[in-house]
Amino acid sequence: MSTVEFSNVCKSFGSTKAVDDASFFFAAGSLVSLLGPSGCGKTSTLRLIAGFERVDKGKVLIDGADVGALMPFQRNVGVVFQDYALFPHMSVAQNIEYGLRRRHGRLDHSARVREMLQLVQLEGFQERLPSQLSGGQQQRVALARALAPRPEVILLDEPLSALDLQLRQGLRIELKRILAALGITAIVVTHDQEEALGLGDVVVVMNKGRIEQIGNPADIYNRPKTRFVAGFVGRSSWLSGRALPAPGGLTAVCLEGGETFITHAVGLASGAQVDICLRPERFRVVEPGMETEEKPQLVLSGRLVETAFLGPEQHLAIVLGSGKVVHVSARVTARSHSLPVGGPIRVGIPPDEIIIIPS
Amino acid sequence: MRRAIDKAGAVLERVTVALVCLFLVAPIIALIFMSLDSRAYLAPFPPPSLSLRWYAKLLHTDLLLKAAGNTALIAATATATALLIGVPAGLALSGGHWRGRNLLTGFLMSPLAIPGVVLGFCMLLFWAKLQFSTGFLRLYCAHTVLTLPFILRAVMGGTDGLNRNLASAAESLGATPTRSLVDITLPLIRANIVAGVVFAIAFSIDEIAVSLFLTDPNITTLPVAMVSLMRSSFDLSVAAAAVALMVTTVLALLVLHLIFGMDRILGRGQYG
Repeated sequence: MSTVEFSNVCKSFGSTKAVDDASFFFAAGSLVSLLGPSGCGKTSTLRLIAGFERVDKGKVLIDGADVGALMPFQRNVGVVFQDYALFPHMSVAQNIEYGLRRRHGRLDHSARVREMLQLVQLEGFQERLPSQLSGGQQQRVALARALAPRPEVILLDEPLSALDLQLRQGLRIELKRILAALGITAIVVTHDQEEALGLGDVVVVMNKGRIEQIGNPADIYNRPKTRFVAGFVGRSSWLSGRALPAPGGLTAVCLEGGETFITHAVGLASGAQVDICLRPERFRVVEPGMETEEKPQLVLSGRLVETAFLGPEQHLAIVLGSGKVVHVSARVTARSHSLPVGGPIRVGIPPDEIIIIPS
Repeated sequence: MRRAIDKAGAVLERVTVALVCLFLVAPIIALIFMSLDSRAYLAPFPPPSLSLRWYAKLLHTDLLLKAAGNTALIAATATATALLIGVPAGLALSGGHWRGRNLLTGFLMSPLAIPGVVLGFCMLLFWAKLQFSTGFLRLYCAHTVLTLPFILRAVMGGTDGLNRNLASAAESLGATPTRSLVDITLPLIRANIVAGVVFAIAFSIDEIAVSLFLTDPNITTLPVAMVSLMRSSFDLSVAAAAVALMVTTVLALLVLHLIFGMDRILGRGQYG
């Protein structure tokens, strides 16, 4: 269990900046999701921690010690590869035992191997070859192999991406359980935002080699700091507006369509252009005659152009007067079917749930 | 339409098989019968009766026996040397992209592309300039250079087909790069290396163009001896020698097949 720290790390491959001045500190025992689109530098970050790549500039610290000069075998970092990279000529038990033999010598490691098999629920599979296992089983062996020598940190590169959807969801919970039970510092690279939010206690969003935001999953989703984070994590509709001073030290935001709402958000300069990010699930359809609710709301009026029934919820696409489209996912009620496509519709959203990003 | 194409394909396949039999298998069968001819002189095919007289004569032809011994010795030593050089070289050449890598690869593979006559003549000039050599040394060096590409290609083919993450995984589990090579890379390309060795030995046993320049009255290889025998006193012990050579090769391949499986030796890597 160790801390992992990057201090102004840069890494380029040719003219591409894979990691651009990245700094972070992960506390011991934290479960970190590294999230970003492909080519954002998240896998390079992982390879720098493992020691497969050397930094151009900056420092990589594990447990406070600069490991920049250490080769992978000199660092005690476990890695689960995207394609698992199980040794095809070794049995499951031999795969798991390999790290134990290299790190702790040729002793009898059968107890630890059994313990690992138990941990990933693969008892009875020790004599199989990797080619005789399913994808999910191979994934577990890869995890057991990486964990067996008790690494300080474990890195998982897209650990679930090679599996089908149903298996993925089950294994995600499983993975979280195993990593939490061991209390090991774990860094999971993923491009799947749902996986990132579901797995990590800390989420790091990267784009083009830069770290966009670090925070807990709720912060990342509810309070994205940049337009990239807001757009990449979760679904959203975008409007633009202008910040204006309001009484009581509050800020008013006037949208392009003329609607105005008051926000508690701070740090918005008067007159500044802002981007408004609206999460579809935060809207409520405003039924005629029920406009006055206890909470103040930003109400948008438009024309309903599309509906899609998804079971528990219903997806609505609404064109506002300004021509912008707003996506709303509304809870399905007995009255839902009465929303006529092409007809006028009003939707409301509490101002506190509106994400405002200075443009 | 499709059916017609399929039918034409089937016919074409049969014709191809028939042609292969005619030009490849038929001469070999004829050779076998000729080597068993009981007549003491060269006479029209087919032989009226069979005997082992030419094999008996082969066993008393010192030239061929010694040449066969030389060929075996040269094939073994040259391939072993090529293996010692080729495996590390192949691993180095397939690991990463460094300056001059392609140039060096091309250089080491060039004996495959340069005509044997040219290579043999150049080597003859080289040794003449050096003014010191023995026949064995000349042939050994030449065969090492000639068999190296087979080993090199086998190793590079093997590592190219290997997932690079395997070595990384081993290193992340505490293996030094050397250790990971011994534990992971080499076992996984073993079949490729065996295939390379088989081809190297087969090539060395069969090689004539280069060897022709490098033999002398004291040392000769089996193919060179067979050619000179055909020129001087052609009799059917040459056919017997050819059959013996063929049987040896087939037996060697059969043994390897039983150990490793033919598809692995001739085809893809073990875990391609």
